[in-house]
Amino acid sequence: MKRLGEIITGFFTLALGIVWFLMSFSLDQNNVGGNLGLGPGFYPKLVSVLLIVLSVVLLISLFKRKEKLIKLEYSFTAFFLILLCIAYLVLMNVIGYATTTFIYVLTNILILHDKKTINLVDVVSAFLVSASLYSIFHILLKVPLPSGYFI
Amino acid sequence: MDLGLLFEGLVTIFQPYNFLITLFGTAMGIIFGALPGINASMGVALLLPLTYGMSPIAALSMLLGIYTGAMYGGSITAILINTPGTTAAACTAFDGYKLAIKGKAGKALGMSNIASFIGGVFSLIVLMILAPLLAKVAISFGPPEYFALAVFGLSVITSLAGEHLVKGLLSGAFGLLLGTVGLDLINGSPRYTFGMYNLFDGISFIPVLIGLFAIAQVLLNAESKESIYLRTKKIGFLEQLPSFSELKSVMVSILNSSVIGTFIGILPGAGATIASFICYNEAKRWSKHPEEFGEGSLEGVAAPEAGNNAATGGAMVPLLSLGIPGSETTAVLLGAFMIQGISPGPLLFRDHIDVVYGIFAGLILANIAFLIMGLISVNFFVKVIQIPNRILYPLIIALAFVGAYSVKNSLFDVGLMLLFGIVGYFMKKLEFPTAPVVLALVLGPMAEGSLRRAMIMSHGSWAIFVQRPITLVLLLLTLFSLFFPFLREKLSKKKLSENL
Repeated sequence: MKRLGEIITGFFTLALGIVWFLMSFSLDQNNVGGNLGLGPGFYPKLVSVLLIVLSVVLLISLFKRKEKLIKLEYSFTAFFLILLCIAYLVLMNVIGYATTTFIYVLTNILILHDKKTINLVDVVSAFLVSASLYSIFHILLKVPLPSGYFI
Repeated sequence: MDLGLLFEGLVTIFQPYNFLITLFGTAMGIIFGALPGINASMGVALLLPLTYGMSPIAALSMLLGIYTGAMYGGSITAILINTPGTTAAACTAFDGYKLAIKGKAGKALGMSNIASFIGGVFSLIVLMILAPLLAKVAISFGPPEYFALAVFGLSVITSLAGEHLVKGLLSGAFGLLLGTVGLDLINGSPRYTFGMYNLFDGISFIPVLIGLFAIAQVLLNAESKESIYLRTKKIGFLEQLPSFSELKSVMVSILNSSVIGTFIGILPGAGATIASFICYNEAKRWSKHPEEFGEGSLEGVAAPEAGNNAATGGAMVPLLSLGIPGSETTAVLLGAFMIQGISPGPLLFRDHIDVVYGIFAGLILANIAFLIMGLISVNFFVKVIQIPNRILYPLIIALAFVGAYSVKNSLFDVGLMLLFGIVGYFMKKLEFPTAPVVLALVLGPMAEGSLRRAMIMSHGSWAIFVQRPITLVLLLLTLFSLFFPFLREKLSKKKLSENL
């Protein structure tokens, strides 16, 4: 199978390797150790060349195949979950850990729920998840969790 | 093996806190193992954050409890609903499910449990004998040997990669690239930090790990909305116990599989999954009743289960004595050592021998724990794993978030975890293996550091890597393992064309 995503990945890692390689030249200017051993830029050069070569190999092998390009099916669920996670991360510092976790878990349950309705079990589980994580990490393990307007 | 030290380790592990925490780990391991879509490495990564404040022995025993528990736990769903909880239990489903259909679910579960226990204990004995010996050899290793060892460990990527060799290597190179971020190991100048202070220590290993293993998997799992429904009647304790003649008929298979599984576990790159497949095939080949395999043979359950648990002890050998993880789960366990501020390897045996024997004792306890828990409370585990996915998935993500946060109390790390969760999701979608990224992120800095120290030692001469015998052998083995897949492909093509 030949997928569009694979070709994009190949070009991405190729670009990453080239950027890394070019940047490595400025690293050796910091080499205070003189000529003893290898400078800070040697190993990054080695690794980025490896990445470049492997990306090219992947791309060539993909273009050589005569199959049709396949687009993978991506579901909206994963996309929604990623957005929700980003919101969770951002709001944690504003609203406070425990409250945000409760809202997050409840919203996530709703997204994954077949009937898109929430029953009491879901609300109770969301509460239990946030309450137990808060008590284990904040009260028991003394982790200073992000706090905002609420806890 | 030092029996006095082992006794001390056992005394430590039977202190109430250590004892309970190991039991907790084992029980969680059985649950994680039994839940389809959650494997041992993900379970260990998820509960790793709980160990931050623990003593090294408690922390490692809990995580090893998860590891061993998950190996047995995978068989529960494999037998009951024909859906292996972990890939290592895939073979168990062949015969286990057939037995369940015939109304012998209890017997299959009991057999899986006992075989897992024997396999685990056997490999533990090998670990206790072999690891100290290997560490003794490795204590004389200098930077060139460590460089060779790290490179050899990295070549494991080819075997982890499975069918997609180039993709696996590319994932590995990507991990190596990530490993160059942070302050230079020798002279302390910042590299690829893009001015962010959070990156001065390098890309944190734990957030990457949790992102790639936990978040990515949940995102992928969430796409298919399958919840498991188990409709089984309660399984009695006595129902699980095999009769003497049944035990006698499978004993040879179990012992064979224990040996094979342990050996495969020691080999870098080949873990519990490969061990269970090979053990199943070998058991079928040597069985007196090969025709029963696939139709509900007890041997077909016992062999892969003994094999996958035996692989756990085997996999600990290179991790403990050389500090080189050879598989996904041992890479995660290496992270646990790093959190504790101790690095596995020969120095661990010199400086923290109490921790080593504490870990051995913890493994003994974990093996006994899953044997007893499995026999007594299998119904409890069956009930727990019926938690609906819509509640399980947010729970996992929330746990991943708080776990990544509490490494350094930093939201930057949470963002990093999320980023790698998304990267991992696309990698899994496009069939790029994620384990090489993690392995390379760990071994990359080690390879670079020892390479540069070796070059300082030799005053810039590369000859140092061929003049030292151990280094030379390891590098030759690396070359072999890198080219072996090509060779194998060539040979099989040649055979194919000859046959045509």
